[in-house]
Amino acid sequence: MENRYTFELCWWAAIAAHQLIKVKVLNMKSSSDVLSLSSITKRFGDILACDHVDFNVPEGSIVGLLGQNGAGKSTLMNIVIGLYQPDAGSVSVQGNQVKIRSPKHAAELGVSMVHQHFSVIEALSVWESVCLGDKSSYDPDSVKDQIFSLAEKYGLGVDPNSRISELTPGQRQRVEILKCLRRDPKVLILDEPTSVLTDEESVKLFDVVQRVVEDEGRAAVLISHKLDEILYATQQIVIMRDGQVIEKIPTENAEASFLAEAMVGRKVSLRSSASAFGITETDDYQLDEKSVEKDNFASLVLKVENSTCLDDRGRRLEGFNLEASAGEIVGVTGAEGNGQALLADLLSSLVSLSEGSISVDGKIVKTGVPGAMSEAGIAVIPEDRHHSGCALELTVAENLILNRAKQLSNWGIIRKENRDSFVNDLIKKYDVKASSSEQIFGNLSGGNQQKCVVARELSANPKILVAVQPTRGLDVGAIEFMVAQIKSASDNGVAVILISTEISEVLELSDRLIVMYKGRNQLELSRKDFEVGAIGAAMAGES
Amino acid sequence: MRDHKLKLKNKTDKKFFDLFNSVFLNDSRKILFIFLVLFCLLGGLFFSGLLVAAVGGSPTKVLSSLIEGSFQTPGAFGRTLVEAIPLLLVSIGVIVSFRAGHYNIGTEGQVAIGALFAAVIALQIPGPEWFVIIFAILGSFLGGAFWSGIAVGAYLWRRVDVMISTLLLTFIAPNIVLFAVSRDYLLLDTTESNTRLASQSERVPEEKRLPEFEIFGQELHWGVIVAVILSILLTGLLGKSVWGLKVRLLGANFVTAKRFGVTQAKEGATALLLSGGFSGLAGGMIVMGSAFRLQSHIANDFGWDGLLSALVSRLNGYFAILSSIFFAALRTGSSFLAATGVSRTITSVIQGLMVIAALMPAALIVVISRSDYGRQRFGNQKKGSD
Repeated sequence: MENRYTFELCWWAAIAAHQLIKVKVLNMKSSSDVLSLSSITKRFGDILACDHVDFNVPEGSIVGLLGQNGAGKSTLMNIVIGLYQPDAGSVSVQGNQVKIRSPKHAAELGVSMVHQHFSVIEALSVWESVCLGDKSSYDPDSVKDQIFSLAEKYGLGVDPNSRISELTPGQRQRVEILKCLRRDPKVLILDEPTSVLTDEESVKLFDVVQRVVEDEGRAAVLISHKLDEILYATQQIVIMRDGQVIEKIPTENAEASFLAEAMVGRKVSLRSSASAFGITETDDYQLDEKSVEKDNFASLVLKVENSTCLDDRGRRLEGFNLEASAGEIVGVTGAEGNGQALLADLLSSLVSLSEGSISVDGKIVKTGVPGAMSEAGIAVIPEDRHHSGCALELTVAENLILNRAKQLSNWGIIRKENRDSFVNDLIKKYDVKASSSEQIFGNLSGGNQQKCVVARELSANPKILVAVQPTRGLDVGAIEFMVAQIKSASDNGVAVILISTEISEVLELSDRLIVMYKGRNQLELSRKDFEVGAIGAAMAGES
Repeated sequence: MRDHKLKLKNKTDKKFFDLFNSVFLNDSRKILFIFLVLFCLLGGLFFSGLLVAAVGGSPTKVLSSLIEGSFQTPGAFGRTLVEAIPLLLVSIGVIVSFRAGHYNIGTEGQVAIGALFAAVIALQIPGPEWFVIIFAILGSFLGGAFWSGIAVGAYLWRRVDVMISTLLLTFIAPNIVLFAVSRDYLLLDTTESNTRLASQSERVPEEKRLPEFEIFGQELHWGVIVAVILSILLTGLLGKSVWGLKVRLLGANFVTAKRFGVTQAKEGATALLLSGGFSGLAGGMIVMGSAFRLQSHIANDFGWDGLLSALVSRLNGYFAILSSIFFAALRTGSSFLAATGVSRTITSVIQGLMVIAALMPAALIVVISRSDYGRQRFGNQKKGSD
């Protein structure tokens, strides 16, 4: 009798063990995907932002998420980090199906995001920013030690004691990454991480991410517009368009032209939108046959002479000269922080010169006098439109008429009929996607905000157009649009000053090129003399 | 992100609703806001009731006498409206300056100086009555503008923070008024009626007061009409004129503003001076329309309450009309309540509770729109999402 019981017990135990092992094995199988989304759907009003999206991130790999603005990438990632709740579908982290309630919850589950716009606070020091948001108590010294060791391990050199305001964009991003790594995430999401980085910094960043992912069994998602980045850094590429996943391919089988096509949904001229992808090999650069040098420009429109100034942020110009004629595109390039931004501010009436002068059509324009440059016919597409290009709290219509409110008004009252017809024309012409002209400007997407700024600046029939990093952070379609706008402005006789750090863009568009170094003209070339080697040397300060 | 506009059947309806929408409800946020206002006011009443019950009173009686005192008893509604005049004037001044990005919180002082100017003119300048009245009212405007002008000057000259300078000037103003009403060579009332020589001026003679009129049995003076017209005018200008666009641009982004020729020295200073002027005007209305004599505490919290009423209206000039009537009703209602025998301290606490209740929605709506729910429902204000 006793024996029989023992036997039965053993039998049941064996079954239970088998079941357990089965479950365990199954779990192990699915846990090779650190993050997996299945059939995610999210709808905003009439817009289907994500349409049954399946998305997996295998352990130890970097997955590139590619798509134009509005393709649903950001929405998808916002669902992953708990900012949005999906209308349908499920999210699994390390094989367990979860409902992610908030970014904090996501972080607890091991999903962390490095944002495109930095969320660090300027007034804090590095170590303070890193432990910002921690609930548990901490000891400054141990946090600093931790930062030191993390920084050492991954080659992210940042001094924990320095203030955020003193750091370069690249260093700030390192702080963001350190902040994420300290929470020991399984999945790291990088949203447009290189939009503010130099090429060198970008390569460094990807090396770090590669190491983090491969050596420690984590995984990463890289959201980007730039094809070269995606091709360089990822193992697998997922392409989204209109809320759907269009394509999933291993990176080794991917080709730039194929990716671009899948992303836009039609054939794109890689040539004209090369700067979008950053895939132009600047060494192999060859001139377009179309853009033969235009020789005789009608007349000199803008003359910046011996301009010298030093602003309170320590940026300086030292005897910088610039001339531009009607219909000419003058490219101004250089490594970031060599006075280009200050030049743009100068032409926006935001700073004044201590020496030198600026004249438009032979007439001297006073620098630093509010509105003077705009009145003289200088339109500016600023680098940071939120800083000097728009007012987020005003409506779309109001932002579009900032430079011509007077013309649209009678006795100081803005005529609604005039305004509406003007604004609606612009919205139609530039294909701005707004629910109405009374929508709050800050609620538009980034691409549409940029379109509005361009529309407003070009609608004033300027003599001079200053475009600062006009294609930075834009997707292919938007870049094509931007490039077309710049070209047509110059065809219409506008003198264009194209200030950009993307050499390929400057080479492609400009008739003449100036390399700035430490606020001076380091090199000036006309189109027929363009030579990448010389430009690179000049950017580094060699003449 | 979503628009919850009502679906309409025919054109006239549409026109009416467009007007209605543009004034009150152009998006779902405003519907939420109105709901929150009602909810918070009920909450305030509830806690006031608890308090009254706790000290052994009858909550329903207190509520009914609050309403009686501000609206129901004969002439009460008129008194409330007269009380609302200075509040509304202060509010629209505050709205202008806040919209321009300058936080003028020294309205209480500007009210006092405005009242001083009005009293000096009304009592000491000879001339035909209509002339004195108009001159005194304009003078009060200039007085308030002068008082905020000191802060403007300090800001333009040395970038002294406007919020701090206007606040500090508030503490100086009543002392200047006190000085004026306690010196017999200035404004001290030396007639026989003031036997104890209290620090106050003579009464403004009846023919030099703001003309009164009666409507539906309520006694009002012309200040009501002036205040309402001014507030509609100014709200319209802020929203529809070139000047208004410039002022709001300055408040929204002063760097962009600079590029388009809008400056702190011109548009910013104008907005602050106007704001001080409206507060001063409120002081003039008090002297010429309801108090008729100057005392050191002439401003009597009108400046502070007007500031609050502007905040409650969320810087909307049309809502400000409603919110200043609400604050005025609280003032008249609680003084009636005190007259019915409820202790003064309790009425003050009730008044405070109601002010908090009125301020809550503006704060709550910020909290809600930052929460996960709000972000999904109303979109993020600051950042355009890709």
